[in-house]
This record gives sequence, structure tokens and C-alpha cells, in this order.
Amino acid sequence: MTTLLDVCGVSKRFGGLMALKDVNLTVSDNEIVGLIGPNGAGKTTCFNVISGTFPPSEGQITFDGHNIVGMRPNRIVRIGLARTYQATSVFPTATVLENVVRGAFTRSEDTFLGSLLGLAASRDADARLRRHCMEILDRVGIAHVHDHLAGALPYGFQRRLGVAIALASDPKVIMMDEPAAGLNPEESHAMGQLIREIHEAGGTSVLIVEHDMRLVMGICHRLIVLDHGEQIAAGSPEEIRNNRQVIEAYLGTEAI
Amino acid sequence: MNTVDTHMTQPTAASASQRGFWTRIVLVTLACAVAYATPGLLPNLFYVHIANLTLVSGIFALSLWIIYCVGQLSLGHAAFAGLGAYASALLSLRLGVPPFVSLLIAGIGTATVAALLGAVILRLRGVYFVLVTFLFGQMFTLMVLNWQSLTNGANGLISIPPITILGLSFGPRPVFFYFAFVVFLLVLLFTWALSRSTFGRAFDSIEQNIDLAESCGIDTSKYQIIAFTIGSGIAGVGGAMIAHYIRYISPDTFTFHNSVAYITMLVVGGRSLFWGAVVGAAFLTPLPEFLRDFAGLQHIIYGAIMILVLRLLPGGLISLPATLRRIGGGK
Repeated sequence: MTTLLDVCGVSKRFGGLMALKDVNLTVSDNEIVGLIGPNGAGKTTCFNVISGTFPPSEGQITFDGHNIVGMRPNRIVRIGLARTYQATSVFPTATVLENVVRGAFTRSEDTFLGSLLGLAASRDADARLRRHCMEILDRVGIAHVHDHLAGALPYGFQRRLGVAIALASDPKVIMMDEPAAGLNPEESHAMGQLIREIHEAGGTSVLIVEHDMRLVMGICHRLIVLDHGEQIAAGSPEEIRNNRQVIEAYLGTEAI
Repeated sequence: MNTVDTHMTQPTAASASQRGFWTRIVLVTLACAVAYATPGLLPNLFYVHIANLTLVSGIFALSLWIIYCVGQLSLGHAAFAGLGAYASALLSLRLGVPPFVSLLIAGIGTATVAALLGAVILRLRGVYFVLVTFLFGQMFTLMVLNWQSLTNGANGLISIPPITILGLSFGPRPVFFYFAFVVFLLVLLFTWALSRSTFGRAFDSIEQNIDLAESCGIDTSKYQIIAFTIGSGIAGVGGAMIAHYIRYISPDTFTFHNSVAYITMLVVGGRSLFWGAVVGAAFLTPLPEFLRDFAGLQHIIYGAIMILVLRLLPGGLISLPATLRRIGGGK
């Protein structure tokens, strides 16, 4: 297993607030890693720092041999690190298929001049891209609504579309920020299934932030626990479940 | 099942695009035929003048629409038009550059200024961007007023030569009409093609959800600068056309009020599609002239019509057919 994403000693300060303090985590190929912790622990901040939304105050982040600190988010996506958002994030007035096509923007063989002049080569490239994106929609199970407007989709479908958009960029690692937030237990279970399928089908690694413990424990190979911006534990789901510090800070004393 | 679906829609999509191609050829030919006859059919030169101004307004509104496509509203659009107008006028007056060439240089020059400015200010969004472009417009007006040696200050530049191509002067109003029409048509077709190109896809993604666009690997700052550069460059050409048509420009030719007028055209026409800008320009440019009979009341009536349009048709005039259908359908 080679390490794809390596976050080393990353801290993030917002003024006097220490949002992240010396966080270390790695994601290797073919791995599902969970990042858990109570609300405000800094999970989403961690995602934002990794995906380039804002730079870390300290620390190193490398991805697939590239130093990605200070790299713009669009560059980071292009080298194979995609992300989804906590809130549903789609292009609301574009069709579902067009949403995914936009996700594949950098993978398109279409050229600006070709598309401006409406050349046959450009139309072919676009048709190929659309077929490819239809397959992705098929994988996430919403191909039947490909011609609907994304903004009009039911919530659960929008969440799946978010995953499809991220998948379209053909990532090596996909970071998912609470993919099951707001989903009912059944939908949540199906989302877990989907993440596992994505992982198994393409060997895509997943870094996932999630509060649904059943989902996280079910699919993750390793877990990292944050509390107040600090890493308080790391290990297999089994180890985390029995870690006293984690139980106190987050899981609660109830048996899970 | 779904893959089969797409395969089956492929041939229909191809033939539909072929049909679309011929429809467009027919539309363009029809527009050219109407345009060819227009100057002859208009009752007098004043109407031809209004038609000319409408065409140039259409160019301004379309170019502003391109910037609007990346979710930014420029309140300094008239300044770019003015920049093009002064550049082209000065090139032809002081250096003797043929007006047709100076027009192109003015467009490229304006685009360059926009690219440099855009690289700095496009990281601002919403009201901040609007304010900075407003200030840029004010700065332009002040600069033109005070740089007497170059711009002749408040007196403006007079006797700007008309556009001449191969000995044909586009100075007279009916002749300029053809020039304005050709440029307008080119800008219209370019805007349409642009909106369907990969750039158009990037622009619309940025407009709808800039964070997600960035997460799709779209270089959002680059594409915003591109849209701002193209839009402002076209405005520069439009401004230069005005300079060589009216043959007189002053700091008052392109002011904040013009910038607001272009935005109004966009809003009244409809922002969702590129030809909304054209409808807005075609509606609002002649309107004040037709209200001249109501001297004293014309501004009030103009305002009332605007309020009515915005109140009843928030999607602009281009949403009128859909609105009528909805009312007709009784839904």
C-alpha cells in the first residue's frame, strides 16, 4: 500500500482560535478512512485545509507526491483529490447529467475552439463524455432522473448527485463531508453501500467525515478521532469503539 | 437500461442538431434580408439613427451579459466602452491610423486593461465587485476630464473620422447601419457560440455555484478573468463604433448612467438567455424617443414601464411567452 494523502503536523488558527492542532493523517490507496469527532472538532476545517479552500497555518500536506499546500482547489482536484460538501451542493438549474458533465470538466477531450465552432470532433467528444457520465449516474443509482433539473431533485438524490459529480473527476481519493447527513436510516445504509461499491469498483480511496456511527464503523478500515482540533485517537473501528478517551469525548458511554 | 437509452437518443440528437443548424442559417439569412431593407423602409434619418443606436446598445448589453454569466455585475461597463472610444478616436486623430484598424486595436487594448484589472478585482464578489467597478467608472470619467493634453478635457474630441473600408465610408447614417448590423450579428453569434462552448459551461458553473465549480477542477479565477476580458473588449469595440459614428466624444458620452442603462437592458430583457440582452436593448433604446410627445412626463412614463415590466415579468421580456402560456393555461 502506498500513501496517497499525507497530512503531517497540520495546524489551523483563526485569529486566537486553534481550529486544528498538529493533525496527522494518511490515506493510502484502496483504503476507506473515517474522520470522526463531536461537532466543532474541526473535521470540516480539516477538509477545507486539505482541499485548498484555505491554507494551513503550519504543517505539510502532500498528495501523490505533490506538495499541495497553497495549491488552488481546482489544481488539487485535477491531480486526483476530489471532495463533496456537507450541505447539498449541486448546479441547481442544470440537468442532473449536465451536473456530472461539469464534474468531469477537466477530463473532457473537448476543446474550446472546437466547441465554439461546433465541430464534429467536439460533438463526438461531448457525446463520449455524456455516455461516460451516464455510467457514473448509473453507478450512483440516479440515471433514471438524468434529464431532471438538479435543484428539483429529492434530497437523497441530490446527495448522490454530489457523489457523482466528485466521481466524474476520476479521483484517486475522494473526501466526503457527511455523505449521510439528513438521510434516514435506510438511505444512510444505501449510501454506505454506495461508498463501498465505489471503493471496490474503482479502487478509489475514501476519506469520510460522518456522524452516523453505524455507517462509519461498517465501512471504514481505519478511524481518526478529532476533538477540539486535536487528534485524540486513531486505529481500527474495533480499537476506537473501545477507546476510553473517545467514548468520553464523543461516542458516549452507551454501548454501540 | 440507461446506457441503452443514451445510445438510442444519439441519432435523434444528431439530426436535431442538424435541424438546429439549418434553422440558424435560415434565421441569420432572414435577419440579413430584413436588415438590408431596413434603412430604405424607415421614414427618415432620425429613425435610422435610432436603429443604429439600438444595434450598438445591443452590442453593449450582450457584452455585459458575458460578464454577468460568471455571476458578476459590472457597474463600470460604460468606462470600458469609453476607453475603447477614446483609444480609437485618438489613434485615428493623432496618429492617422485608419478607423477600422483603430477600432480593432481599441478592442484589444480595452480587453488588455480589463484582463489586468480583472485579475485584481475579480476575487471580490457580489456588492464589493459592483462597488469597485463603479469606482473604476468614476475614475475613468475623472481621468478623461483632467488629462487635458490627451483627451481635450470636458470639450471632448471633435471631427473623429468615420470608418472607411476599401474607400467606402460608413459615415452616413444609412451606411453605418450596415456596419453596425454586421458587427452586432457577429457579436450575437459569437456570444451564442461562447455560451455553448466549454467556456460557457465553465461560466455557467461559476454563476450557479462557484465553490462546486472550483471542486470540479474549473479554474474559477481564470474563467472569470476570461469572461470579463471578452465582455469588456467587446464593449471597447462598441464604444469605438460610437466614436466614429457620432464623430464626437466627451467625458459625458460614457458615464455611470450608461452603465446603469446597460444593466437595465439586461434585467428588462431577461438575464437567463443571451438574447434577453438584445430584447432589452431593442426595447429600451428607442423607448425614450417614442415618449418625446409626452414632454415633461417622459421620464415618469419610462420609469412606470420599467416598474411594470419588472413587477409582472421578473424573468424579463423574454419570459413573456411562458408567462402568457401560464395565464392562458389557467394555472
